[in-house]
Amino acid sequence: MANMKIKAKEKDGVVGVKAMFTSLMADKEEAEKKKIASEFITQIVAKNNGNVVFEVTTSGFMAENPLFKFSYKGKAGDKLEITTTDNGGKTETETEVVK
Amino acid sequence: MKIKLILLFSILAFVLSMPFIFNKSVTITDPHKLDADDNFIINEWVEPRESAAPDWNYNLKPVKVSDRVWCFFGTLEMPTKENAGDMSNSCYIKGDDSWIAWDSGPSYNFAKQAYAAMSKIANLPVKTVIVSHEHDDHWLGNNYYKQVHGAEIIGTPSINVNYHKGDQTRMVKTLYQDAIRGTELVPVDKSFKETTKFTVSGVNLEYVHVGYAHSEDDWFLYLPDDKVVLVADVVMNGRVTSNRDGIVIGQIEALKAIKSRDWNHLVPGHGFVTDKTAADESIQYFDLTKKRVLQAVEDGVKADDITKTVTLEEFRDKDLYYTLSAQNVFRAYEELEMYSGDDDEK
Repeated sequence: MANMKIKAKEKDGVVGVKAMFTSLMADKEEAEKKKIASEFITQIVAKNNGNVVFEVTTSGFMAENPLFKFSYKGKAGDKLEITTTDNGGKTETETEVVK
Repeated sequence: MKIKLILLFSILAFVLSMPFIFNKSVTITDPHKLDADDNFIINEWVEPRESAAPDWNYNLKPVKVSDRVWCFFGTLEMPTKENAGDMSNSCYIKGDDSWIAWDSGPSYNFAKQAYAAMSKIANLPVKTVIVSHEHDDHWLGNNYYKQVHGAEIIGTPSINVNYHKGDQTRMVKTLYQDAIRGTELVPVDKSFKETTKFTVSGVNLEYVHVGYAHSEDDWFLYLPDDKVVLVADVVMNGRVTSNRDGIVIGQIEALKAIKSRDWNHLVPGHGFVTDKTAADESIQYFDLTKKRVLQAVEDGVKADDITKTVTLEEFRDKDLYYTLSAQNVFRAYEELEMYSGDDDEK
């Protein structure tokens, strides 16, 4: 199962992106309480045709399965690539063509 | 002088409001009332009540749906003290040597009085109870059939996972003691993983699994020889559904499974219409919800505004519209915001 869902749509030269990531976003404290393994995304990078358009550092303070919305200047047909890195260093990448 | 007086009154008002502004007097005496994140559990424990009043009289009258199916139809309301939980539909199927109960209602007393009414039609025991889903207006009468008739309870495994003896469900907290007394949460005896055909007391049944639709795990019962389908809360008519635990896409798939069967009578979980048109209202409700919420997402409507944008005017005159429709739409937005057509194939 993919760990993220991406929707990217261009309107008037601006690409609106919605991306949802599957993660418990459980930091150490929460993981201890719930007796689960700590798991959260630490970094999200979005590249449009290879150029970084969005980058954010995150931690367990965010809600489970976080939903991000951002926009940048681009056009339909561009290739959007989003990469996440979790606290264990594991990375996941998904690509979506801008509609 | 005037300024001094205003200043004095302001200081006085501030001092008087101090206990309310900086109220740190909450003492946690019962740590079990906190959840894993140290938040107060909103639905707190309700102390058991005692009452010497006679048992609530549900005044139940069975309605014959087909040659061997009778049903009790509840009001189109939320569970209240006034309706004593009699707001869902439950049915009896007449077998060769026993009754089969489909959903057992909101309480022990309801089940007891339902059986008393049915035993006037045929004095047979209830040997099998089949449950549609885990919501407590549909199965809290199980312990009557278990304790008095020794019935086998067939139902969703989620009941055994999510409910345990002594738990206080919504119904237990809501009803008067004279209605809920005697009710105990009993586990399901037998569960299936997928759609199963079996025969009970000479009646051929198909117990159809529709999965995550109105609740976490929904099932309906098809009687192929009688061309009757008992669908519980996947279908409602005359009122707006409650999708608080359900998903729009699952509901649409479940309604397709119901439509694919050959039936003349359909008994909904809530509502009085049982003819060929019984499911139409639910089909329209979920189709419109999906279509309009997806359009709103496409148009960039934000979550805060979705209930103003998608109002489902066609259902404004239905019961519980003002109580439930906005929350259904909001939940549908959460579900469908990242929806793509590919999700249907999963």
